[in-house]
Amino acid sequence: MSDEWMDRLSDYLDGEMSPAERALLEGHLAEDAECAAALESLRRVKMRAASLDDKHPAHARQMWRGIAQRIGATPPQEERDPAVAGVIRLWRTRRFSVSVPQLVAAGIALMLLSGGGSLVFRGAAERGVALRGGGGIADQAAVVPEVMQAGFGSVAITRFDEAVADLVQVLEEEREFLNPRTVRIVEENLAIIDRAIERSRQALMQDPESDYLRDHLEQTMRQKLTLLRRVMAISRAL
Amino acid sequence: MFHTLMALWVTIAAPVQTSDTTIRVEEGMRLNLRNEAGEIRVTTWERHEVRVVLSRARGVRIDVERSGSVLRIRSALDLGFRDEFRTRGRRGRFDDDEVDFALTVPVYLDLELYGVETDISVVGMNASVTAETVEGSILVRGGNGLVMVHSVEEEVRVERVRGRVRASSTDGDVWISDVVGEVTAESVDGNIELNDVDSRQVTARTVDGDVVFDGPIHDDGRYHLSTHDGDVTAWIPAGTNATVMVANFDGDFETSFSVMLRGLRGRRFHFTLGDGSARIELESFDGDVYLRRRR
Repeated sequence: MSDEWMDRLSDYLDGEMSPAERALLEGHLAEDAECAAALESLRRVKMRAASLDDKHPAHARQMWRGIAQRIGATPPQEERDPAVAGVIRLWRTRRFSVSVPQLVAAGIALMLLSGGGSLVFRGAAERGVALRGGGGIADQAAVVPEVMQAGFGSVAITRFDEAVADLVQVLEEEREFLNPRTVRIVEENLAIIDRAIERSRQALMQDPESDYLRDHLEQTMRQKLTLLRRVMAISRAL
Repeated sequence: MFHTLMALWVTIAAPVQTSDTTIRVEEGMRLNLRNEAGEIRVTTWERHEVRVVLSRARGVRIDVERSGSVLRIRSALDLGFRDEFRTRGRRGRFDDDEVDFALTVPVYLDLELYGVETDISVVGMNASVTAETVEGSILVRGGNGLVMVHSVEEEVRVERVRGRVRASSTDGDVWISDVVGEVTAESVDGNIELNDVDSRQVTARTVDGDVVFDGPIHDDGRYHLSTHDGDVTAWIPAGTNATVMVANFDGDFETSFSVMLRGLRGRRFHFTLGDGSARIELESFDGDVYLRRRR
């Protein structure tokens, strides 16, 4: 994927490209599945962000600051002012660019927030649990282990499972475009990751104070999302 | 910044068993090639030209288009031969025919190569290289700038790169050697081996496989090697200044030199080598961690 184009996706969505630029980018999108998938993610994130601002403005701002910090997207000084509208304004002003992993992180986090994840976030925040750093790690995964420790695991795990289920459903629809052998290999690899996630969850239950186990579970969950997204991008390119 | 659309169409008429054409290029250009099935082989020469030699191309039309600074090459089933091929899927992919591309290009030409049932090899470049395939292997030997490779089913190899490397395989091994620059390597069901990697930023992680790193450790460097089910081995030179963080759940730690373990907590511990300036993280959930002196 071309970083040059990646940096212009926000411009494209915001209608800030000339017709010639749009034509060139659209030509590129037809050739680059990963870039096209990134655009879709960006579009979804933007839509979720728009709905969030109305539903949970305070939480959206708070969450977005955490997301922006973790994904390394530092907004300009004036937009760090709490009085400045959060998610929507950031998207409107769009003065930072994001990478594909960053989109995943932001998208999942926003999905959590809009789909009930705010409950998770509040639960964690009320216990003084800081959202963990790490850049590019899906935010729902970052929250999950903390929540598990405090007994809110079912909610957060459900969010992760739903995120995975969404991707699996899309993949199921795209399945016919993939070679059956590829499908089999992907399913085998998903099974490997699922076993790793299950082992990590069990280990964390045994030793809930372990930073390592928490981080490891986060990472393994992120790998599953990464794999699903990658396969989805491939299937759409075929 | 965007170029006026200029299109140069070169259509190589089908049927062809082999075909040979040459297109003039200049510095600053990028070649974008997609080949659904077969092979893409790229080598270099001194000329400011791209030579495209095709084989096994019966019934396949090759379109070459120059648009601004991008040279696009596509293989497509020629209409006159469509009936000879079985199609697959709504988008009409054909699975009976393969095209082998042998390209000779100037070393400065940035490359974007995509395939499905396609093996890709690129040798001798001094430019950025992107290579992605689903069912084939990838070899990139030589590169400068960003080298990004991914295969779903087969191994990927990256060698002799000066720049940033991002290499991943879902179901295969990742081999990276003789690289100066930032390295990110990922696999799910495969090993990762990094040899002679001179980098200040290394991230290597797999789920089911071993991870090996062999290279110098820079004082301001950060090195993260992790696996879920496999061993992690780091070969580091004498005189390394680093804080080494080790973690595992069900495995052992072994070092070929004595260290003073500190901070034993939550299945993690650390120790310091020299002034501790670099950061090395070695993690295996279900395997052993080895720290060795470089040979």
